[in-house]
Amino acid sequence: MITGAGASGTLTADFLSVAESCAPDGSPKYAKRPVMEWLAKVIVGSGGGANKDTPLFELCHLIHTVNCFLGKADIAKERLTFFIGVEKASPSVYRDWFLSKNALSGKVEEHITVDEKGLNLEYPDGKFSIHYGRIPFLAALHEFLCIMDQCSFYEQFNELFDTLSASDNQKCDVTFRKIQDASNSLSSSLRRYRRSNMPQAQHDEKSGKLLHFLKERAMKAAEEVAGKQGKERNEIEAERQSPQPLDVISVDDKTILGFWLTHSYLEEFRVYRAVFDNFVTLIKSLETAEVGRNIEHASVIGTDREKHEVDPDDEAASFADYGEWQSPLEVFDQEPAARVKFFKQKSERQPIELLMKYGPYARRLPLAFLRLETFGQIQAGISNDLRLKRSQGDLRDRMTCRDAATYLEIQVQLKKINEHVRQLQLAALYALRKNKHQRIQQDGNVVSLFDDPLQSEFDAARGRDFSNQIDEEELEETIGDAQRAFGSFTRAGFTEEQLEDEGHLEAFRIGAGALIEVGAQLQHFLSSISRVVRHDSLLEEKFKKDQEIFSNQFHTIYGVSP
Amino acid sequence: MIDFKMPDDRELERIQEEFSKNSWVDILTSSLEENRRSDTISLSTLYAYLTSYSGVDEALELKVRSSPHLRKLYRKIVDQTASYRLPEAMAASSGDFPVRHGSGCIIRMEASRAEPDQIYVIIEITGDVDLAPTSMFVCEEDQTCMRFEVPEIKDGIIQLIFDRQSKLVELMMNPKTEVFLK
Repeated sequence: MITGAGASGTLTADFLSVAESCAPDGSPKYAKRPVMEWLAKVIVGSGGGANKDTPLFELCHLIHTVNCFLGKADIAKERLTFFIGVEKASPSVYRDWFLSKNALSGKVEEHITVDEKGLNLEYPDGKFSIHYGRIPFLAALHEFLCIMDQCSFYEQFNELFDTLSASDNQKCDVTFRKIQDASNSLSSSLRRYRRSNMPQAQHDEKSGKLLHFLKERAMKAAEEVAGKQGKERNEIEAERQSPQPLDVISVDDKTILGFWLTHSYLEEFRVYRAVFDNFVTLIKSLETAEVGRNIEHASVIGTDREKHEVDPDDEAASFADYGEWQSPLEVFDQEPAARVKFFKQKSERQPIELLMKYGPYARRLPLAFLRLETFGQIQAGISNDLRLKRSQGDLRDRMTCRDAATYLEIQVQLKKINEHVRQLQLAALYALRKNKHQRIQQDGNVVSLFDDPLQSEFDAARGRDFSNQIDEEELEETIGDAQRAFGSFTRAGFTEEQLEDEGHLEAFRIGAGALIEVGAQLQHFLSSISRVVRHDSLLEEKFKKDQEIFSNQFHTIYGVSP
Repeated sequence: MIDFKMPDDRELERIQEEFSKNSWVDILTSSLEENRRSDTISLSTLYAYLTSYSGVDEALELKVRSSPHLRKLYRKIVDQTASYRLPEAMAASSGDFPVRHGSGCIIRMEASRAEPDQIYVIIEITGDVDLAPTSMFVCEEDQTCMRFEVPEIKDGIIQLIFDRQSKLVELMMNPKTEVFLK
């Protein structure tokens, strides 16, 4: 499929053109995750943390640094080679570039220092640091800025970038303030681009429908409560109009199913997964608005929800905490973690892909998520059947949902993978601990792998209480478990010889952090299911009911008689 | 259950704006998963095409020609990365072929004695033959450039033969065009 027509088409086409950039071996120049996903957020103005234009500011610092290392005569050409000419945008490529330039060049400006981790800049009016790990992201942003609107900003931006260096034979006079001004100028162009290429109207209609549905449900719930209290509808309406207790909208598992059942006749809400995604998007948006409001009016801590008091309970944690949630599985696709086969694609990774993608949202909407995992798959199959013009018989058969994985089966599978993750954590503990001991023996020097003691990190990951005083006996037992776990893996990356290699150890070091996230997410989700459905038989019952609901709805949506 | 305070009109506007942004992020990230292709050229692809011996990519050349900005960028990269630059030729007298002089390089044209409809384009490298070019780019005043692959150098000479009516001959006959070799 070719993308390109229309305002929104320009945005997608420009974005995809960066994604399509290739290294000479044909592999993508920029990693899909996390680089391209990050870029998507920055482009639309929803990334960058507190200030959405922070990445532009970082990019200007980087451009200034690159300019300082280049010959002044060919600055534009060499800068283009730095950003566009590299084979693959990886931290090591950029680190090597800066270290070699630094070693060769005596002319680097005094205010820049280059080390193994990154670049440090000291301006007369401020300081800034850039880690090499950040540069692939900034290079992708640079490429997007250059290509946007068929390169119509290229000249303008490059003239601006040229100003971020010293004039000929002059001492560098670039200041922190000048970097800010350049960043503001980029920001203003990007805003203009957004205004032309990101039409909001098409999404307004969608969010309007979702919010209307939530309000109607809130009203209905209020009516039911009021009915019991003997209030009339106009009293409820009056109460709703005033900033009173009834002004609360809620999203839960039932809401999502209810919305799909009543709106799947509309093209944009036909697919259950699309509805789930839309609600997650809405939750994120409501949360952002809530954060804004909370800044204006700090909430009162308490348990009276009708008075908008906030319960400081863990489960009521703000979704803003998850604003930047990213699947921890992404780590395993990138160097150095990719050197070790932590997960087998089909049996150990694929079943948790969606759970890790939705992370905290899956945890807060456990049944809605289980429906997505189970019946979402069935609906994807139906769409495929229709696309391939399969027979009515095949369709009818698929719509019975008899092939759907049951909630219990999913639960069992997740428990199994959770145990696998626990074994991986132990194996990583063994790998890192062994290396630590080797280092002590070799040079009597202990290199801290984590901020906390290694054992404590893993105890935390496994949900145990830990303290700085570790029980020696328990420690021995864990180390024994760790060694056995490491030895039990007969797959790439789990050999004693490989542990001698520093790059390989780095894979375990990075992988260990992601394993902690994966384990915690699995644990939380399994607990959420148990909280909603306290017994396995009830989970089975829930599945049977849903199977009937989804089967009926599929028949209705696609006009196939049972 | 996740509870939110019912938004007022001002907040509603903000929520819709956020919803739109988040939806755009979803659209962009899902475009990565789907097998979608952009109809524009990435800067890295253009750069790699112009700086490597890759042969002429007609589809890419066509896309570039259709966009004034891409044409300009194409020419800029060619100019920045060329080994030899041969600016406008001296206007030739009627019937003669223009000769182009660049630093370390001369390009002249001769009619074939055997086939009068064919023209030789002769590239003479007068400097370092280690910098033997593999591609020739001929750029018009409106920034439109055309790429031609050139054969191997022999004794400091690269020789190409084209029909008198060919595009290359037409471009080379125009003294206003510029030639870049790399």
